Parts: sequence; structure tokens; C-alpha cells
Amino acid sequence: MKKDIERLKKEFAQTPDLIIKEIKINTLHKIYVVFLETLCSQDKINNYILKSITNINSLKDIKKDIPGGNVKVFDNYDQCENYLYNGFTLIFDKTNIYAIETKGELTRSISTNETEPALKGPKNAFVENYQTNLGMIKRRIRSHNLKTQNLNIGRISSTQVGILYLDGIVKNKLVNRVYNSLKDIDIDLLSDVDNLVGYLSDKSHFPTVITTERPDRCAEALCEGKIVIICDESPFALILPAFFIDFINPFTDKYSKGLNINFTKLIRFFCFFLSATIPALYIAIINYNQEAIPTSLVINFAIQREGVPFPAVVECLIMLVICEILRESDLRFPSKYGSAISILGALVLGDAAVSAGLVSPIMIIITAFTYISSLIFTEPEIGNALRNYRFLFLTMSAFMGLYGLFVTLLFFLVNLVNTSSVGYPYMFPASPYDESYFKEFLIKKKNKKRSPMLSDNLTKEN
Amino acid sequence: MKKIFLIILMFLTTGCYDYVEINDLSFVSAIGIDYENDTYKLTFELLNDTKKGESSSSQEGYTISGSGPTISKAFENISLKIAKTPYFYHLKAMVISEDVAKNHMKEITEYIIRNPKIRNEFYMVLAKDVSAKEIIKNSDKNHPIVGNKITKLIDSNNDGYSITFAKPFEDILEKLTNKKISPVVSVLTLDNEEIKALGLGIFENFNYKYTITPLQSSYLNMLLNEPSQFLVSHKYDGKILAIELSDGNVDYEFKNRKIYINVTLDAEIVENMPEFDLRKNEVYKKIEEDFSKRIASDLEELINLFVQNNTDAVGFENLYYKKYRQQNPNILQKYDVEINVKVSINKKGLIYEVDYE
Repeated sequence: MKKDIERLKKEFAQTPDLIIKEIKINTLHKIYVVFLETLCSQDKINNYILKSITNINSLKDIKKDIPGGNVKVFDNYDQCENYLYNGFTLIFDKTNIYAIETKGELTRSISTNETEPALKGPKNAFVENYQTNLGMIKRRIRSHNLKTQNLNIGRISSTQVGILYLDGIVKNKLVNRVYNSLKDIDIDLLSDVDNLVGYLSDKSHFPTVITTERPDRCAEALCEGKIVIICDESPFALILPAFFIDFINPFTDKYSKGLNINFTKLIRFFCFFLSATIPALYIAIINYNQEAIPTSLVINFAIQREGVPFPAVVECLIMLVICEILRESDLRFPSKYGSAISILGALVLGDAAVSAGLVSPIMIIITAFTYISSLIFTEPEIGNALRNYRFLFLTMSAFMGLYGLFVTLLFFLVNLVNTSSVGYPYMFPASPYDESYFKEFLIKKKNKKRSPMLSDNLTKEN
Repeated sequence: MKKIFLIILMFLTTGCYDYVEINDLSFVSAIGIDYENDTYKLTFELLNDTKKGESSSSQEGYTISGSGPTISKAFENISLKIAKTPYFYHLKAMVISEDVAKNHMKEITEYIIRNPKIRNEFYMVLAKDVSAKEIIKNSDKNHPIVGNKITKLIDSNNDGYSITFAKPFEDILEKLTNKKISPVVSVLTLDNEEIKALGLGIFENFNYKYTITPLQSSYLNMLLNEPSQFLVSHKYDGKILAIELSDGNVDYEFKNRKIYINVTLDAEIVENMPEFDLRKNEVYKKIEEDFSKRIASDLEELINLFVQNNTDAVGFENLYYKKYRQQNPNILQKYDVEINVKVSINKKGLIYEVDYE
């Protein structure tokens, strides 16, 4: 015991929040109570440990005598650091070390979700506490089939990560694949669950893992046969496999009427392709294929472009880059200054640029339409992927007109179809076609079955 | 590394081949071709793409003329006067004078076919009793672009009265090269400085022959099974009864060295000056019989006109070939024509007597 205490003092030198309290039980016995003040709740330590210990005359069985809810016993010093940093209080006895859970409340309370707003449906969101997040999911899935595989990732952080799945619904090969991908991770620090995305997804511009802060979405995904990964100190969860359609149609469509929402779903598809191709289409028509549009429109374009000193391609590139700068600064600026940025952006990109003769009015419309179309998607990674392809489309159409645009569109589609999410085809349920997932997520219709790609247990509703 | 090198090479050798700034193009909306003193005289109508004031939505045009001993030289000379590159893909109408249509149609057609910069989607029209230049210069406040004006005139007259022929030059080219059917073009003239449709001009082997009247043009459109709607009137004791004919269906049969043309038409009474009692069935039957005879007689006259001038504007030779897959040249000269017309009045119009007291 003394050796362990000395080792503890040596290893935790320059750690003023480590408290080592020596308590004499009787003339023969003394114990050491060790805890990290910053991670523990002083009230719990007083109530569970200190008050109880002073009443005990002899230590026959600390595990039974201490009124703490979660008491572990071990004799190996190596586990001490892990327990100390998880908010446990350690009691060093002659032979054993006892760890009693006395975690302090260091996380914020449950609040509304900010990244996936919806008019209907639950409003609560995950927080930075692993147990709270797990609890929010378990409130929705009250079944013993909800299993959790735990991992500790990070040499220094030793962050708790949980892989959740519904036994009997999910396919075991998916669970094994995800577990094998995560268990070999050897990094210093895992600060957020998003850090795991790189180990789970293939090299692709498109996001292949859903990041969500909605517990209802996680519960729904588990019932579909997907896997949810939660992580301590992260208010987000990962859902995989994730398909292209999951990023286009938001989860909140589930709370809207099917007939009405299908029109909006179609519009989102158009917006996806329009956002990537509109600037390129404009350049192709203006510079190569002027015969493709009606005469009155082409004359209007010519009239509007009169006096602009730059070629159309350069003008388009300048506008797109300015919009990207504006979007980035809008993200970083504190919200109180947000309105000033909007006004500046409107002035810069709008009337002032046109009045100065730097850009044509039609270019403002094209740029505005491009960005408004891309803002329709809640997942920011889709916007980032579209941006990369937008510039590629623009370059190819600047060199080869409509032909270049369609060649790039072919390349884009091939890339999309070739992408996979943890081994599952990204364009599912379009390719390969699956009726039940199609009805669930692509066009909302009554659906009583699970997809056979995700689960062998097909019955969802009788 | 090799892939990147290949892509860069591809861009350097093939990219920007067709690149042109939109402001470097001069859009040609209409072309007028005249022939005087052994010289082709061209008139281009160009669209004005410069800003005028605050409003950028109104379109205007202006004309430029040029000439040359050959059609290609004339095009070249006129291009020398234009500050930008002429762009013909938005060409709406080409107006040719009578002289050009009679004697130089082959040269014009050949130039258009060989020129990849002209699409065959424009209307070709013939200017009768005026020069093509006068028609091209006939813009006003209501119709600043003559090319659009001509296009709309042809389309609206075709829909409303079937006097014009609303098919692009591609159709005329097909007929010119086919030789089994005489091509037709819309004929325009100026009436009190207003462009007016006169009827249809009939060609034979790249030469313009004659123009048929507006009523005959409507009949021809009907015989060609184009959507047609037109007025026919008949006098009863000096008073006119007029009917509007539509939904014409024409069947052709070739039997016993005769061409049988069976026409069925729906009609609507639009003018009843003889004041027939339209509530009686026998009155309708008589009207239908009279108009059927009248239309049959008109059609016979039209077919005889085609026979006399050796112009097969209906394309009987073509119809025979489609049916029997056999050539039968000059069928119109060899076969007699029998015309059966059946007019059915399906809308009586106003049937009540009007009391004028």
C-alpha cells in the first residue's frame, strides 16, 4: 500500500487537484482515500465514503459497508489512473484497492438541438456526457436487445466510445467490421466522435457517416439495422452505414405528411444537381453554346455583360470565391455580429459590385441561386463536397462548353455510384434498388418492412 | 503523375477551341436577299445588344446591307461592315425576292447547306412586288425586330387561317432535294407599309413558278393534312352564307389510273345573311351539299392549276411511293383526279330569329 501511495505521489507530482487523505480506522489500520478534486463531487465523497468510514471500527468488507452505488475492487495499480480520471475515489487498503464512483456534474444540461432544427418532433439533443447520451437512447429503445460494445480510444485521453446496435436486427458482419476498424486506432487524444469518421469512411468527397445530435434519429437508425457510435465528451453521435439519400432528405421528414413532403424531396434532388452545375451551365451557354437558349434571353445576357472587364469565367470564379469567404467568416463570427456580416455581404456582392461594373447582374443571380440551393442540406459536408465538384464543373465547362459539363457530370455520377459506406453501396436504394428503403427515405410511403440489405429481420410492422 | 500530365496535355491541346465571348457576337435575326445588276444584295437585321438607359429588357434591331457577285462574296462583304462576328444560329427568317426565287434558288440553297454556321430552323419567305430589303427594314415601335415579326405573322396566320406555311427551311430543303413534291413557301408583301401574307408560292425544281390565292393556300394546307382552319363563303341570291371549316381529314386512293381524294370537313356557320331557318334539318342538308360541291369545285380548279404548271405541291408521287413502294413519275399528268368532299355542319351558330323592332 505504501509503495503504491509513493508511486502515486511521484507520478502525479505537479497535480495540485490530487487529494490523498490518510484515515486511521483504528490503531492498527489506516487507509488512504485518493481522488481528483476537479473530477469528483465533494458531496458524494463526504456522503458515500468519509462519513461511512469514520463509523467503521474494523474493515471487514469495504465493498459491502460503503454505501456507494458502483464499487469496484482490484489489486493492480495500473488501473488506478483510469479510475481516478473517470471520477472514481480510490481507497487503498493493505491488500486491495477499492474504486467508488463519485463523479462530479461537469456537463451542461440537455438542451434543444441546433444543427437539425425541425418544426415537429422531439427537440432534445445529446450532451457531452456519455451516460446521459446513452440514457437518452435507452429511453426510446426499452429492450434488452440494445447492446453496447465499449472501447477506450486514445493513449492519453482514454475516451470511452460505445458501439450501439440492436441484436437480432443488425447484421453481425457490420458490427464486427466497425469494431475491428475502431479497436486498432492508436492515437493520443480523441476529442470528438467526428475524429473517428476518418477511420470508418472511405476516401471520398462525400460524407459516408451521419453525424447527428438527435437521439430520436439514432433510435430510428438502430431500428433500421444501423449502428450508432457515441463518445464521451462529444454531443454528437455517428450513424452508419449512411447513404446518399440520408443526406439529401433530412430525418425530420418523418414528422411530415407523406403526400406533401414528397414534392419537397424532389426539389432537394434538383437543388443538389443545380447547385453543382448552374455556374458551369451559365459559362457553357455564354461562351460556347449560345444557340442553346432563346434569342431574347441571349440578348439579355449580352446586354447585362456589356462593360464588364473580365471574361465570364473569371467573373464567375471571383464571385464564387467571395461567397466562400463570406460563408466562412459568417461561421466564425460571433452571432451578435452576424447581421453586420450579412449586410456587408449583400452590399459587396449585390448592388455595389454591379454598379461598379465589376460583375453583371445575372452573375449575382447565378451565385445567389447556387448558394441558396446548397443551403437546403443540413449536413455541411455535402455542401463542402458540392463546392469541390462545382469548381471542377466550372473548369471543364470553361474549357469545353456543354460537352465538358456533361463529361464531368458522367464522372461525378460514376464517383457517386462507386462510393461506399462501410462496404455498403452509397447510392442505395437507387442502385441497387430496394423497395422498402426507397419507400422509407426516398419517396415517403407506407412501409412495413426493413431493407434486406441492412437486416435479416424484415418485419417492422404487422 | 502520368494521369495528371495527360489531363494537362488534353486541356492544352483541345480546350477552348470554340471559346467566344458573348459580347463579341453579332446576332443576325433576319436576312434579305435581292438580285440586281448581276449582284447579290444582302440585308442583315442585327439585334442591338448595347445598354440603353436603365431598362435592359427591350430589344431593338438595326440593318446593314452589302453586296457581291456571288452569294458567298456578298456574305463576306457584309461581314466586313459588322464590328463583331456575325452569329447565325438565332436566324429567324430569310426573305428572298422574286428574282432570286425564280433564278438563283439553287445557289442560295447550296450556300446554306454548305455553311455549318447557319441552322436550317428559320422560315424562308418570298417577297412579292417588293424587294427583300424593304421587308427587312419594315420595323416599327410595336415590332422592333422584323425577324420576330415575320415569324409571328407566319405562325399566327397558319394557326388562324392556314394561309401561310409554318415549316422551317429544313422542310423546304427536303422537298427541293426529294423532287417528288414541289416545295411551298409563304409569300409576303407590303400593303400600306405593313407586312401582309399573300398566300403560298409554289416551286418546281429550284424555280419559283407562281403564287396561289389565300383560299387556295388554305385548301393546299388541308390537302397536305396540316392543321387547317379557314373560311369559305357561298352566295345565295346575292347574299353571303359563310362557314368556318376545320378538322379536315383527307384520304388518297390510287385505283384504275385515277386518284381519289376523299375529304371530310367539320364546319360552323359564322354568317347567315340569307337568313336561312337554321332550326330545320333539310336546310342544313342543303347547305352541306352546296358547300361540298363548292369546295370540290375549288379543289378541282387547284389541282388543274398544278397539272398545267407541272407542279405537284400535294406530293401525289410521294404518296403513291409511300403506299406502293414503286416509282410513278408525273403521276398527276397521267392519272385523272376525282374529288369527293363531305362537309358536316356540327355547330349551327345562332339559330334564333332576331326581332329588329
